[in-house]
Amino acid sequence: MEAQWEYGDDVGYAYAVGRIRALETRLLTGERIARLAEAGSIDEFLRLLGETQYAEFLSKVSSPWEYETILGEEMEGVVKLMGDLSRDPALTDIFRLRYDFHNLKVALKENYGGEPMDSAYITLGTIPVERVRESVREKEGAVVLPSHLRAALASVTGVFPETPAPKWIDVIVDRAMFRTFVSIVKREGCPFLYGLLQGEIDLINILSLFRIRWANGEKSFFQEALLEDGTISTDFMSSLFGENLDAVPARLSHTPYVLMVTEGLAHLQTQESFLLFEKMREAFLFNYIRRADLIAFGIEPLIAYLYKKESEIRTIRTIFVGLLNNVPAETLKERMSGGFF
Amino acid sequence: MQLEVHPTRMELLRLKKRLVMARRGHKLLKDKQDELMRQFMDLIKDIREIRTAVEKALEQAFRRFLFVSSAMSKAYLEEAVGFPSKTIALNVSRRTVMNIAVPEMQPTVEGEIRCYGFATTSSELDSSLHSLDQVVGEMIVLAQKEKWMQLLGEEIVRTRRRVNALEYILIPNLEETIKYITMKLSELERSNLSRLMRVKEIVRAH
Repeated sequence: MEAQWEYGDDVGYAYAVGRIRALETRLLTGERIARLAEAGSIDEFLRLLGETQYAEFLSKVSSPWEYETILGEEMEGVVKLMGDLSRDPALTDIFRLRYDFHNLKVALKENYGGEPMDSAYITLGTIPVERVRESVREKEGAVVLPSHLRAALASVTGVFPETPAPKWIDVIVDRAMFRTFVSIVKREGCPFLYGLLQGEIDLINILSLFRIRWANGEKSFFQEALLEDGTISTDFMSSLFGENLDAVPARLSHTPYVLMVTEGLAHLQTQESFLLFEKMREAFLFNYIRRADLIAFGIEPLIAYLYKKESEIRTIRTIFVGLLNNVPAETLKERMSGGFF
Repeated sequence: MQLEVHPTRMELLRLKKRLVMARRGHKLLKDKQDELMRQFMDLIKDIREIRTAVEKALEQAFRRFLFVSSAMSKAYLEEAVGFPSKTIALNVSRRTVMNIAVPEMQPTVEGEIRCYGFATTSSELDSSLHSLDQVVGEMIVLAQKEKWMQLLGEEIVRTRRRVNALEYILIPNLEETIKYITMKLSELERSNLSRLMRVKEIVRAH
């Protein structure tokens, strides 16, 4: 880490943080989420949701099945707010760059798969969807993309014809995405976001290990899928692949992920489900971003708010899907984000 | 119902032959129907077991997929599974069972079910697709057996119709007609005899 990286010393964020602190009071609390999950019916849930900040979007849909519109509008509002409040657009744009990379993957899959995937595009990125689509369709036109996307596109077009499996598109683009994020964060100097990214990378790598082992996948694929720049080296992660799964928690005992791995693995072995892994992953990252609560000036509270909002939206989506499909409240609560329960 | 035939000896002989043939055919068809029913009942038992297992597995897979769709937005989910890498081709051949051409399905599987990366997908998607993947083979067996059951059922209906037609229509009609011709011929014989007796009496009186 560079010496000039300091936490929360940018007084220019005084207004932004003040606004975020005010907005944070409107975030749904665990109790409120529990009430929503226990609504019992979709009508009652919509009535309760009408008492929250989601109320303004409820009138825009005619049926609860259009919940993605409500959640999409809310997310769009948050992304726009971040753009307005941020004094470091390069950092806050990281969250929009995710959508650019996502759109690139969709365009590539559309191109190679030959099936249109219109509804898979997300318009919240930094580049218009049509431009990404056009660049992939006409390879010579790829110059209109920014360098990070261009590099990812070139890697895929170089590899895909030899190994025509769609998973490689994701693996290559995801690796390029995190490499881009880390390089931006290093360039801009934000230890909080760097730590968050490292945590995310570690957790993705650890989960990839269990996901590939559980599916009897190959080590070579795992090595290719590993993301760089985590706190755990890719070589160490790679060495875990040959281990007996029961021995993995002990090998990771020096990391903060040991509890997640121990409990998640036990759940996976008994229930054949990654649910606990996912919940503990989210709880771990939630715990990390809580550090931003103690920072008075800086971009950290903005990033934390964005993260909290994404988690809240996921939770609302879970309740929508659950109630629309008559899932009992208890099951819903079990499934909900590790940050709330 | 009596058949519309001329009450002649030739016809009687022909009808008697037909009756013997009809009774033999009835017995054979009845045996066939019994065997078909036995196979049908065995098949139903098999199908019930497979269907219960398939429905349970599908319920679990769909339930898991339901929660995946709540953990991932629609756009991310569509991106992940919108370009599948696993293909299943079904090679359908036919074999004959009890004179019924039943299909035999032989799946040819290529590629793997996981067609996405790990960074932006929920790991619950793996278990959901794994559950679906495991049940596909059983679904093909179920489809094949249900098709057999349908064809067997149709054959049973057809055979039963034939058995019933023989048992309740053709054989009784033939018996009735034979009885009618026999009576008619006896009647003619008696009539002839009495005529001859009468003629003999007249001749004797002169």
